[in-house]
Amino acid sequence: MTTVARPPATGESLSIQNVVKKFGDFTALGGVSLEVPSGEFFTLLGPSGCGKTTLLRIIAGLEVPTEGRVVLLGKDITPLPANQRPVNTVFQSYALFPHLSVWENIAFGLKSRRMDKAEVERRVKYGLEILQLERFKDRLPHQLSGGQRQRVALARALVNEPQVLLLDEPMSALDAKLRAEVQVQLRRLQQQLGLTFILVTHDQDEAMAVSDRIALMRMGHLEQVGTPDEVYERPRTRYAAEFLGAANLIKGLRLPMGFEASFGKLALNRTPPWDEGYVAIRPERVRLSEVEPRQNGLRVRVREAVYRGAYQEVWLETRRARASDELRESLSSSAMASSSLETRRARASDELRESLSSSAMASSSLEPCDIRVRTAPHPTFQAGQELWAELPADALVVLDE
Amino acid sequence: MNRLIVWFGELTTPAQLYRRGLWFLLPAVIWILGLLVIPGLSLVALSFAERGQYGEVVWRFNLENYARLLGYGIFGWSPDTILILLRSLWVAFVTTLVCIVLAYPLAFFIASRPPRTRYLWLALVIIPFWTNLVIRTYAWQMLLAPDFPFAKLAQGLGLLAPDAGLYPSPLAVYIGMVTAFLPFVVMPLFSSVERLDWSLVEAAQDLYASRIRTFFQAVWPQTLPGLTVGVILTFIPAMGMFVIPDLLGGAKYLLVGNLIQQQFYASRDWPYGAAVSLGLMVMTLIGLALYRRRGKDVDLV
Repeated sequence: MTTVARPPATGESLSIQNVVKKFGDFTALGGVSLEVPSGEFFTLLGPSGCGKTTLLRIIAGLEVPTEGRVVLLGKDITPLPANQRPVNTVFQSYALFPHLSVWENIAFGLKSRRMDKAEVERRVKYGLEILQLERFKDRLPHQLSGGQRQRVALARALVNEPQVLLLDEPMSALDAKLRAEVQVQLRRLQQQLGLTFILVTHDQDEAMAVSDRIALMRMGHLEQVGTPDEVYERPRTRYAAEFLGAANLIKGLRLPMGFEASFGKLALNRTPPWDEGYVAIRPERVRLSEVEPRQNGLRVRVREAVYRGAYQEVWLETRRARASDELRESLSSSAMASSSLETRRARASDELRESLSSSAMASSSLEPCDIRVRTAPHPTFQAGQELWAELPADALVVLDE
Repeated sequence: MNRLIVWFGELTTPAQLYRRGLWFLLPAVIWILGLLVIPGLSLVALSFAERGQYGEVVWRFNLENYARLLGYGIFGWSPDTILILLRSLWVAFVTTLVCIVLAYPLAFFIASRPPRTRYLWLALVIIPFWTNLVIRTYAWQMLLAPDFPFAKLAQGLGLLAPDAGLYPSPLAVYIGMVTAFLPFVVMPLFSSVERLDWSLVEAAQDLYASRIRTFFQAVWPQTLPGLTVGVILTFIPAMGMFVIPDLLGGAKYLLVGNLIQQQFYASRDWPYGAAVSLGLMVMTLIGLALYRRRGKDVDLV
């Protein structure tokens, strides 16, 4: 097979240095720095308005940064206009030329650069081949389906052999099933060509599925950059934990190698850096069992269980510090067992005092929280069922803020 | 036909509907018959008649008017009338072209203004449009007169004889025509430019296109609908225009509009005037047909 893409140079391909972009009073990007090595599939992830598209447009040359530099393969391309950058974009709306056929659309960039006919012919043929568009080469864009248009837009960018391919939410117009297919194809294509891809998306599943590394953005800043499993398993902030998938955020107070939440003390692998803060745990990391686990076990009641086919989602009710439960139990059983009444009462009042003092300290901030669990679909849980939940220490992530 | 049908909730028969439809059509039919078909046919009939000694119409069938239109007169063949027709075609063509070239920057300028001031700029384009054409043309006569700065400048540069004015001249005709028709191109073009999909422009830039290539591949096709309307609204009236060439062109720059006007007024030769009118109409229709055919290849709407 003929390959269009040159073998990528090793090392830093694209470097974004302290880029600031302001629109009037509004700061879209507040000093972003990034290094993207050659051949990496890099994703800018974030909600709408976080500046990810602005950053992409700055790399493409469609927007001029207020401050900062864009360096490509050691060359500062900040002052270059879009039509002189070795970078191509797949636009969100695809922006196919409506009066040109598929073939002519793909040939557009090559013809702009006045390549000779044979070379244009060869590269367009390759582009049509690699994205399975041969059958449609004479059609006009309005005669194509959404997925086909998307492939044309991809081919149109790829045949130019860009140093970096920019993808601006290219899958947002496709339906869920097609999107999943295209994600796999896109990933495969990137690995096959060895090109640097930079994808902008607000869809965290998409980001996880295709990326080598993800940069999570928030309000014009990078929140966290890392491989998908780093960002997912070790979110640094509440925002990162909540944006990527579901997370249980548990508020608590610092203890040595642990922390104290409203429902009790939990052991951690390290001592939290804060006095009061959050610990996160993914729903699928919580273990449910009938017997009390050795560590970090909680007695919980199932509030709601939703069967989802491949898994079931369970919401668990925790209770305020178990001490008060024991107290109530002990008080009610005290009438029957009068012999141990005195000792029990003494212990209970101690515990009562303890729990009262701790709740007085934390009553403003530590509310009992529900824990969301994702578990195997069988056995199914029933609402009201009481069981043990284990929050393993290695699954509890201490958040920085 | 007594089949019952339900027509928008009304129980009726097809025959009844048909009769009602005819009644509804009647006003339009009368209008078109009275104001278009009958005058048109009488113009055709008139063009085959003959001028009497005192300018009256003599209803004797002949083809003499058409022979004259093609240049055959009492003194043999002369290219005068054909020249006038071709000149009209040329003036209309140049006027349209200049209007397009001027309208593009103007339409983009207006469309790129913030919404608050955009309609102010549009109003500036439209206001001359509300002023009577004759008054505007007289205004140009004044502005191009020998004592005014434009003529003085031309005299100073040696382009013009001392004490001469810039009118009457072909240039004055072009200036008058372009200013008269510019709004007709700017307005429809503006409506296209306002709805322009700028992502295509960005795509073209992203794909290494030069400015010229970006314009012709990403902007021009998108503005074709507005441009087509503008061209038709300019070209056809410009072909038949007689006020501006009459006031600014003088006797030396006769256009077909003036020729027709002369036949109906000064020469009192109605049959010949009718023949020239029909000649103009045929040329216009041919022009439109060519334009439509060419336009089909780049049809975007």
